[in-house]
Amino acid sequence: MDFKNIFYKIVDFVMHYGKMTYEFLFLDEKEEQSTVEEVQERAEIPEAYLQRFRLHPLQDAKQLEGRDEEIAMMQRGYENWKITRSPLLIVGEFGAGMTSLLNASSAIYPHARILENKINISNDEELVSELKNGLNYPEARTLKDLETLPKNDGEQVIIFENIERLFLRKIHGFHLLEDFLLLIHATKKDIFWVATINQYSYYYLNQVINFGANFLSVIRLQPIKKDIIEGIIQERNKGYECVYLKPGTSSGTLSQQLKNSDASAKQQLLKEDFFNKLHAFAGGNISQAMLFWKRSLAYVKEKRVYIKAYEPKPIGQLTLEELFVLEAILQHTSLSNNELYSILRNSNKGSKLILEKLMENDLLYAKTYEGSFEPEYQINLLHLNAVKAQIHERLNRNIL
Amino acid sequence: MFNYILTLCFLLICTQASAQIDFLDSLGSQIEEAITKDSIDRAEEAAENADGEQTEDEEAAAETTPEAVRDNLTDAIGKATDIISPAKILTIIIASLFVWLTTKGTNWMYRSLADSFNRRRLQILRLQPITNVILWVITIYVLVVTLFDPTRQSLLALMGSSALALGFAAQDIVKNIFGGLLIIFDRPFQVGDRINIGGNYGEVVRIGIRNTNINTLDDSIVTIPNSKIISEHISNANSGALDCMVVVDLWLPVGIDVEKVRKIAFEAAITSRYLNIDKAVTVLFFDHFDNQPATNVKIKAYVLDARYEKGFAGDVTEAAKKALSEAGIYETIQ
Repeated sequence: MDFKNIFYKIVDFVMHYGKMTYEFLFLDEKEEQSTVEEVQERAEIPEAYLQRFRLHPLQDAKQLEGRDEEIAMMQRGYENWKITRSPLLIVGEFGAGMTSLLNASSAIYPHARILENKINISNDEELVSELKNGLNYPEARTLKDLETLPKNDGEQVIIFENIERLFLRKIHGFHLLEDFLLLIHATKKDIFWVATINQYSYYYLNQVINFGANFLSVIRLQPIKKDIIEGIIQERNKGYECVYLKPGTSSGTLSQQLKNSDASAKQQLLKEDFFNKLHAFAGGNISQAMLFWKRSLAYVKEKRVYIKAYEPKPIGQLTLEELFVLEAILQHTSLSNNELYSILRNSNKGSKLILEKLMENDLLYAKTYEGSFEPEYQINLLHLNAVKAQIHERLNRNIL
Repeated sequence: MFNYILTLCFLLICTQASAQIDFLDSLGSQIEEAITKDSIDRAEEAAENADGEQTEDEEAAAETTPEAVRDNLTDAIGKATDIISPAKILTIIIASLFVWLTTKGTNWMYRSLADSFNRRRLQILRLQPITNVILWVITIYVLVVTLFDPTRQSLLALMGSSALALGFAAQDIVKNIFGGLLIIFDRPFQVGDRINIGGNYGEVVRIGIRNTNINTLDDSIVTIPNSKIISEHISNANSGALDCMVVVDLWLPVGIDVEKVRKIAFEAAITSRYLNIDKAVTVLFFDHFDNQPATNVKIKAYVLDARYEKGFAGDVTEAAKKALSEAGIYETIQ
């Protein structure tokens, strides 16, 4: 039993309810006004500056930082394949930079073809249509055809992104994934298959159908080191001077230290406090770190950026049904309402209502992808940690 | 509340018994003293007045003994009044009320903690009855020792008289209390466990000193006396763990396509939101030829929390039946 964790949970519990009571008793108009001012200030941040922190996959291997070990493992995976002919699986957290890593892998797999899957593939035809382009075999009509692929002269490397898009957690929802795994095994002598999967899908599939046994080499993306994340942020902030503001809630020690320090020492203290909070929030996830930075921007004046540490709003106690919806979305990366309805076996309207409520609470966001008729719902990275914590605690899932 | 009343009764018995004991002690010693004094006087007088003035002395002694008894009686009644003074009774009432409120407070605290730390829910809840017992034992001990300061003899006499009184008047209650203590310390089940006792199946929501409450699947609270529990067979579905095994039964015709049914049954279980995915799912087939030939498909899986046992069974049955129907499995009956 981890007593340290229990102790921190008790402290959090006391702090949470203490804060709620305080807010209930003493929250006044003045505080509400200051929130409004903050929003107005946020609106003043120039778009050009925000663009620097936009979340997008990197295209160039040179730009990728903090993934040297994973690149080396991918290289080793390729070398192993030459002997064992075993496919490679890469497991990662949302926003951990999986696509950037795959783009950067062009340095080690120059002829690799990346098959990107942004929405769920629901039938054989869709899968065959995607694969026949990737495998350069337009004559193929079925997965069986693809198994008898004519041999190419050189070695082929196919990167299949988001393999979890091939299953849906419902009866008969696994056959496409199983067929694809059979295809991988049938063609692995000639093709080096690299598949990626999010860690929640991997956990689920591993437990229920022993998915991991199909891959001899599995790479798990590790959290990026703190100094590298700080370096990336400083790099993107180049040309601007940072001024750290006192956070909304600060410890008594910090307040005391600030009182007894001069201006430069104060800035140093505030900077340390800010980055401690950023790392605690992001836990080595580059996308979450960027979001934290963007949310912490108070305002930009000329070439000076004013930073006030973002304080995530508590998401409150979610209902069991809401947690089941969020868990299903985590397991599939994103889901449409119809897919969710078939997974949870409840009414279409019922799942839609839950989705709307979760959207209202900012826990989900909807995105319509090309080729998709209805929006796909995804977890808001800002609340990912809180959602995971509740799923872990209330649904007893070992996902932390 | 029962604990509160029981403590009060116990302490009042203590008070009365102490008063009686002190009264008897004092009366006995006074009589003894009087008899001793009388014997000495008589011996001395016999030695000094051998001429036969015995009659006068005996009369004098007879005059002094009732006075001494009266004095002693007054003295003993005074002491008894001291022992059962209103101040002491008030102290007992206030202390018991305070402890009763404290137990209510700790029970609330345990419930809140259990809600907040669901994964440790059962470990937290099992502390609840132990804390209550400890609180009451300490209170009774402290009150008896501080208010009555009993001697060893009076304590033994008190225990004897209490046992006698309780033995006659409240033997069922005593049986239940000992049963409660056995359940708390022997722990055949704990708060949060799913048990079946005497045909009552449900979640243990409270283990009290006198009885245990079970919340059954149709959401009724069944109160079972602890004396009955210790003499019954108990089956415990989860034994302190959050999850528990659930067996879902499906009845199908004998001539079914086993492979197809196995796949559907297995997938119905692994896709259920209530499944504990960390534990294996098993599908078994049994043929029955009793009245009408049928195949019993048993899906054995663990549910993530014992509270969702029926939810899981319903979810899996519904999904499996729908898929089996779509696959035309039921049509093979006709």
